[in-house]
Amino acid sequence: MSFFRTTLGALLVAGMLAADAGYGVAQTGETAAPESHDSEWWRTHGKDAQANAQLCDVCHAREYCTRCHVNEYDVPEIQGLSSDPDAAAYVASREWPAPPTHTPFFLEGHQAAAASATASCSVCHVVEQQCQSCHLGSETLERPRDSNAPELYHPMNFLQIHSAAAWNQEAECTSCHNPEVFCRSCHTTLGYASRDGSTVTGFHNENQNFVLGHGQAARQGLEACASCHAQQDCLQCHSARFGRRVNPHGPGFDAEKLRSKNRGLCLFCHFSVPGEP
Amino acid sequence: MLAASLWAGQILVPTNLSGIREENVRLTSLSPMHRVARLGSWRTGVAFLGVTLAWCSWSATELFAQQWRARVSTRVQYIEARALVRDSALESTVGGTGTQRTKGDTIVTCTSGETYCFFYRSGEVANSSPAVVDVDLNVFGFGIEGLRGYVSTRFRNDFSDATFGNDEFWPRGDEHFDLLAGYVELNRRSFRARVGRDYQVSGLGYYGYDGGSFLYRYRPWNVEVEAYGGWGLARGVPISITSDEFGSLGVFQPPERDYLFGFRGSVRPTANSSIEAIYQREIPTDRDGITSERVAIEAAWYPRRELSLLAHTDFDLATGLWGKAGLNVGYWANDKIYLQGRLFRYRPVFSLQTIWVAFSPVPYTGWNLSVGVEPRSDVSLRLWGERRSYSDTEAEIGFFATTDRDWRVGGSVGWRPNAFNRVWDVSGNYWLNWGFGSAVSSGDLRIGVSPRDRLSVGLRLSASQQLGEFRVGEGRIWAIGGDARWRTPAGTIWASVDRYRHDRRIDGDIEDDPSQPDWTQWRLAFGLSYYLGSEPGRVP
Repeated sequence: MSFFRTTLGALLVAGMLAADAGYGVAQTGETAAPESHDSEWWRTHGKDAQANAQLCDVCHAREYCTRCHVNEYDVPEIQGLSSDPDAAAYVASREWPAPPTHTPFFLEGHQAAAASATASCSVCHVVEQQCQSCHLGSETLERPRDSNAPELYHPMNFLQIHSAAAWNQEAECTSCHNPEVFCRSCHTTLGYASRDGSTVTGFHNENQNFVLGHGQAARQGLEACASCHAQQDCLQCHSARFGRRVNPHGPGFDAEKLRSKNRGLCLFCHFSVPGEP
Repeated sequence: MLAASLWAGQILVPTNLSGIREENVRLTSLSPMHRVARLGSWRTGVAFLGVTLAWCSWSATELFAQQWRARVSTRVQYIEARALVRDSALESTVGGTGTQRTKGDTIVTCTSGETYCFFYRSGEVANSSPAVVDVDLNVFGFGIEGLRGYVSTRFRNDFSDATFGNDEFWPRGDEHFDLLAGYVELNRRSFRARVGRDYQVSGLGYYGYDGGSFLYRYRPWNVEVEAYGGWGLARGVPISITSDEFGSLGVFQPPERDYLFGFRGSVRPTANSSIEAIYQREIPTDRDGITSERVAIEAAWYPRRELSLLAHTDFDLATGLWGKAGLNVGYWANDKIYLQGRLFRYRPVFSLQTIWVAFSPVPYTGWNLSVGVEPRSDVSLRLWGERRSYSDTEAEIGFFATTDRDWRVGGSVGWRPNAFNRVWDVSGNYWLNWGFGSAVSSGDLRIGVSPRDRLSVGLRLSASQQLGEFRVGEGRIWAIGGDARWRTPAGTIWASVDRYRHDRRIDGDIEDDPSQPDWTQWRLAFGLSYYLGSEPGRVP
């Protein structure tokens, strides 16, 4: 009897110690996951969780879900789970892999995925905090500890090489930057853009015929041109009202369509709207 | 607030002091003068006071229930630069004939009949110290589910020296305050309504507006539809196109802001697919024509865990031309190797408020192949190659034609040795690009160490070489620097210092080409970012 009591007491104490240490509690991740938690579970568990949330509650505390689900207050199934502060400490102490959709090149090419499924993004990302680091030029505070992602969108020596990147459209600069206020102000101060609109300054000195033959370069990289040259600069030659009256219209130009959309545009260069009596 | 409620007749006001409502009067049934007369009586005054006190007590209770969350991000930089200065020389002192001549090692431009020839040279070293403080504030917990206020602001100043002239160097350095976003939002399970200044990033790029939006969610079908509209902000910057910042547009600056409105819809038909479409139109306030009208579609499909298909395109309805488009196929060969192929097209889209739209910018098409490999658990490697081809510009001239092809390759490597308990890390990047307007070869290397958890210190090196903008000359820029970052659950503090040296030699014949902009400089940066306030539901 004494042996039985001793054994029972030892098991009880051991069980309490084990429980206190977190052994056997699924939140620690030390136990084997059930069969349902296969490699696709991260993507498909939503429906099962909604259908049978109390089953999740057997092993998982609310804090376990909130590691990814920043929208927990929008998910009643998570709100219905029990709370356990120890789970919060546990999930905070571990590195959590990104889902397979976040490929090594996801940062550069997430546009379609992000735009078509913003609700999915907001499950894990607070848009105003994490997306701003690139899209508004702010710094993110939510960067994973071991992340190889840059702190900001552009690499550290980007200013030195940004002219080549802009000319060759390494990225679509104008998606985020307004050339008029972002590019030209700096270029003007540094002397790359002329203050007086002069177009015969010798800046593009690779070929003495650049001014005469710049059409191809301009049509291939018009955004780069606009980072230094104002519209008035180009009208010195490309206007039907004055100057050399060189026609700038090229492939794809649909005068009829543009006139139907905004006839005032024509009047920047023409005395009257072409095609109208 | 209370007065406004009273004026609107939203509450009933007792008109005696006995506490017994002998006469309840709906103020909306009275004329404004009668309301004043009623409210002017001493009885009503005392009642007004009582209601005010009651309201204040209720508000105080609500205020205690309020929660807020702020993020403050500060960056201060020190930058040196040498501007290009336009100089001149007497034509008689310049040898040769023609437009392009040389004076010593410098190419000068001479115009027939002019007394002087012109050339560029580097000016004196000047510096700038731009500082930017971003403050985001979320206020919630008003006692109404899903109600919150959000404000995102940016404060900036440019402490430039006298050479640049204050406020000139850093873009918009003289604009000390920006309201990036500021709205009140009611977000429920099935809908979200916003009123105020909002910005969005979509397949149409970055756009903002002062107005409102309403988003409806039909969760059983995973459908979202949104309508938004208001007065538009300029593209890529949170200010109005009519502001002084756009004064350089001259006659092209619109006198009034545009109306901007659009519709967006998305659906997730299955757990592994999604599609979104957005339509947006900008029209001048006088409604004489339109400024832009575009539509974009994005789609994502993950048929299997290891396979992804992403596609996007946009169409400019105003000009009838396609903008950009892309098809991206990704494949996890195994847990260590990821392969990606991409086909794409790009054509810049300009608004009908600029003449650029009539200059016929041509698109380019291209392909990209990328591979990401993790040969070991502590090593990651990425390689990619790309080729682009521009459409016919119909402007090629025999005596000056440039290429319509673009090649680029690049790669990056990261190594965080397990043998050193992942305390050390090495990362490097390289990019080689040969295009129509410029060529660049650039690389950087960083060696970092984390002596303590969340603290990292790094030494970094970089080198770049580029030819650009149809200018003669080449050069190499070398840089060495260091950085440190300490991240805590509450925030981050970081700093960096770099020393750049520009070697302006040309083909070994010219030791130092003075006509090139000189990037030799010091550059320092310091940042401090932190959270303030409550953070419900997030693990630190």
